[in-house]
Amino acid sequence: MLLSIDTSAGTSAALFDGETLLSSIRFDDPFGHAENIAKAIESVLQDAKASVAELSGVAVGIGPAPYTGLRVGIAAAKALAAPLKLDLFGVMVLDAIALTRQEERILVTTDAKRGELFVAGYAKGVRQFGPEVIHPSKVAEMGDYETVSVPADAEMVGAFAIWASNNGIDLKETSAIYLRSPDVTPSPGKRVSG
Amino acid sequence: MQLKVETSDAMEALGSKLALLLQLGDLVLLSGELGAGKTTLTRGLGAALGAQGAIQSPTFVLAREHRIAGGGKLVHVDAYRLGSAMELDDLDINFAGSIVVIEWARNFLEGYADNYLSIEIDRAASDEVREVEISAAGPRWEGVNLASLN
Amino acid sequence: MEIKVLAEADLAQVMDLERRLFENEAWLEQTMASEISSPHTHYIGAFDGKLLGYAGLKVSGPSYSSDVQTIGVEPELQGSGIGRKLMNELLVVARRRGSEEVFLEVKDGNDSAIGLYQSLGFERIDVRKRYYQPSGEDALVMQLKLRQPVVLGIESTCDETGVGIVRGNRLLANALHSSMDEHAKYGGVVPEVAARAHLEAISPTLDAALAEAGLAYKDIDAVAVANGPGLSGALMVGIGAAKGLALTLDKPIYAVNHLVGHVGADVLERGAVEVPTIALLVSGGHTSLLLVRDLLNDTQLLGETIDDAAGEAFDKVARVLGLPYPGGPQIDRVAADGNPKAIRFPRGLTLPKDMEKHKYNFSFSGLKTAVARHVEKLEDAAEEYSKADVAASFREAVIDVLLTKALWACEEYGVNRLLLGGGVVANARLREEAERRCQEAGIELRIPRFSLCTDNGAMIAALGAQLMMDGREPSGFGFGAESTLPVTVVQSA
Repeated sequence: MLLSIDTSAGTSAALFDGETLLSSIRFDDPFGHAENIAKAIESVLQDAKASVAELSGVAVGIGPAPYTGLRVGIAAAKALAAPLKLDLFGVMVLDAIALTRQEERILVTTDAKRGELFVAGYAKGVRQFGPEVIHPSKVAEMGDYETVSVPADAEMVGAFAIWASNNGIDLKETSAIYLRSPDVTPSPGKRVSG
Repeated sequence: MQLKVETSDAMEALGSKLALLLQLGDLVLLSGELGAGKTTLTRGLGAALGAQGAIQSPTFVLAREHRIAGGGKLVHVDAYRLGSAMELDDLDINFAGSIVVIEWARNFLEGYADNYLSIEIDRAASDEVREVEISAAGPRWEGVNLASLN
Repeated sequence: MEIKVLAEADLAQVMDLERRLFENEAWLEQTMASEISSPHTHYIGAFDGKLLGYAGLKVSGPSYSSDVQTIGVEPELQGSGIGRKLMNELLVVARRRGSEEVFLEVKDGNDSAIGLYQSLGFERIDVRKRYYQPSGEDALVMQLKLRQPVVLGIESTCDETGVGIVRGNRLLANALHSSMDEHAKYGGVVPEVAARAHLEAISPTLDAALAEAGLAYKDIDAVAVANGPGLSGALMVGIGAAKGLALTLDKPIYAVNHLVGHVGADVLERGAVEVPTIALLVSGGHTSLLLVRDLLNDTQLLGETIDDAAGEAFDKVARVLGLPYPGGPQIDRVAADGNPKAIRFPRGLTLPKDMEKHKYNFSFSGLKTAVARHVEKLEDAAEEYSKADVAASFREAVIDVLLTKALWACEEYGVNRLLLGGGVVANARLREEAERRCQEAGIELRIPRFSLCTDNGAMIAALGAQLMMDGREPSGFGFGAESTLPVTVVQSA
C-alpha cells in the first residue's frame, strides 16, 4: 500500500492499494498542519482498516508551497518511512495537479504568498517549464495556456506517485522545493544616539 | 494625534489603552530609536489583551506569537532584520487571525498594507519623556476616534 | 486501608511495631527517624486508622538502583496481602525514580517473605553469611531488574536540531546539528533559515542518535518532542517528525516544555532530579528564573526578561563593538584582557523601585543602550578606547544581575540549590563567578555538562521519560507548536 501525505495547502492524507484509492481525508485549514498531520494519517489508515506494517511506500508533496506547512508533511513522511525503511517518493505538487487535468495546454498556478504565484506549464501532460515563482501580471506572458488554480492534495500526490512509478519516473528527490532563498538582509546595527 | 508620555509606566498604560481600539486583523507599525519604548508599549498592549507569555524583544527571533484572551494571537515582530516587506510573508503570520505589532517598521511597510495604525516614538530631549505621534491609514480607521488614547 | 508516606508523627507507632517484630535486631528510634526524613528514601505505612505495616526504600540516583531497607507487618495480619501492597508501592517509586535494579536482604529461611519477593520477580543473587546479628543467620540477597522506558526526544525550538535517547534517567545518546554557522551572516537566528536547516538535519540526526545508542527504532518505547516555547516554524518540523515516528512505531508521544526540559537535563548527570532548586536558564532566546519544587508538578516562573534575553544582549553588544555573531564567545575573547570594573554599566531592574514588580525580572535593554551610547560617544569623538574594558565591564554587568537575582531567590525561598542551564552557561566567567558566590552563600551549584546545557534532544527525551515513569497519560496527536508556552505547562495534551 502507498500512503500519501500533502501539506502544500491544507493537510491531507490518502491510502492506495495498487492503483485503488482506499481512503482519503483533507483538512483545509491553511494554518493547522502540525495539529492535523497525525490525525490525517491515522484516519486514512483506520478508515481502510490498514496498519503501517502494510505500507510499502510513502509519497509526499515536496512543494513548491508555503514553507512552514510544507515542511510538516515532509518531516512526518521522512520520520514515518525511516523505521520500516519504506520507499519515499517526493512529488512536485504542480505535476500532481496537472495529472488530474485533461486540457492540452495548462498553466498550473498556486499561491506562493508575497503576492506571487508558483507556476509550471504543461503541454499534452509534459512539463514545458517551471516550477517558478512569478508575479501574477506575468501570467499572460507565459504563452497560450489555460490557467488552472486549484490546490494540491494527498489524493493527487498519491496518484502522481503511482503514475510516475508505472512510467519509470524516479521520485527519489525529497528535498523541499522553496524556489526562493530566505533573503533576510544582514542588518548594519542600530544606532542609539539620535 | 500627538501625545507626551512622561514615564515608562505611562507608555505601558498607553499600550493598554490601545488594546481597546484593536481587533483581530489589525496592523500596528511602531517606530522609534533604540530604547524609545516600543517594547514597553507592546507590553502594556499584551497585558490588556491577556497575552500568554511575556512580551519580550523579538529581535532574536524576528517574531513572537502570543495567544490572547478570546481567541486569536498577538504577533510581535521586529522588522529591523527584514530587508523588505516581502520577507514578512515568510514568517507565515495569520494576519486575519492576529493583531500584528511591528517594531522598526520604517517606510517600506507603508506600501504593504492598506490599513494600519502608525505610532512613532521620539525620545526628544530628555531621558524619560517621549513624544508619541499616532496616525491611522485606510478605511478600517475611518471614523475611529483616537482621542481615547489620551 | 490506605498507604501513605510516613511522617515524624508516625514514629511512635512504627517503633512499637518495629520492636515487636524485630526484638533485639530492631533499629534504634534515632535511626528510624533519620531514615524516614532522609531525602533519598521513601518510607510508607499501611494504615487502617492505626498502623498495620510499614516499608522503606532507599534510592541511589547515580547507581540507578534502590534498596528495600525494611518491611514489617503486624504479626496477626501477615499473609493477608499487606506486605505485597507495601512492596508494590515501593516498586512503583523505585521505577519512577529511575532505578534499574532493586535489592533487598531477607533471612534465609523466611520462606513466606522469600515467596512474596519471588512472586514479584526478585531472584536470589547472593548469600551473606551470618549477616543478621546477634542471631548469626544468613541473609539472602535478592535482586529485581526493572526495565526503564527507552525514550527518543526531538528538539527543534531554535537553531539546533537535537535528537536524544535515554533509558529512564540514563543518557544513551545526544546527537545535535546546529545551523549557527548559516546564521552568522544574519547576526541572529532567522526563523526560515533555522526551519529549513531542521528539515535537512532531522533524518541524519535521528540516525546519529540511534547509532550512538547502539539501538534500532524497534527499541524505542516512546517519543518525546519539545512543542514550545520557541520559533513556530522550527518547532513544526520537530513536531511533524515526532508524530510521524510515533505513528509508525505505534508508540506513545509526549509533547513537552523546552524550558522545563532544561531543568530536567540535570537528571542525566546524576540519575536523579534534585529538588527543590532554583533554576537560572540563560540563552539567546530565553532568560528565566524558576523555582522548581517538583519537576513535573510544581515549577514556578519567578521572573524572566522583559526585553532582551542575556544571550541576545551579548549579540547586540558584540555588534556595537564590531564583533561577529554569535556575540558570547566573541565578547569573552575580547574581554580576556579587560578590566571588569573599568566602567560601571547599569544593572537593570535592581533599584528599590523595581523590587515590587520586577524583583526577579531581568532587563538588558538599558544595559545594551548604555554600552552603545558609551561606545558611540567615544567613536564620534574619535577617541581611543579599550574594547577589552568595555567587553569585560558589560559582561560583568550581565553576570552580576543574573547571579544577584538568582541568589536572592535562593534566600527568599529557602532553597540552597541553584541549577544553571542554557547556552550562555558556556561563559566561563559566569561559571566562575557562580561558583564563587554560591560557595560564599552555602548554595549547592549544579551545572550539567555543556552538551546538556545548550538546546539538546537528550533533555527532551529525559523529560518524556520522567512523565512516562510517573505514569502520565501520553499526549494526544492534536497538539501544535506553542511559541510562548508557559513554564507551568510541562506537558501539552
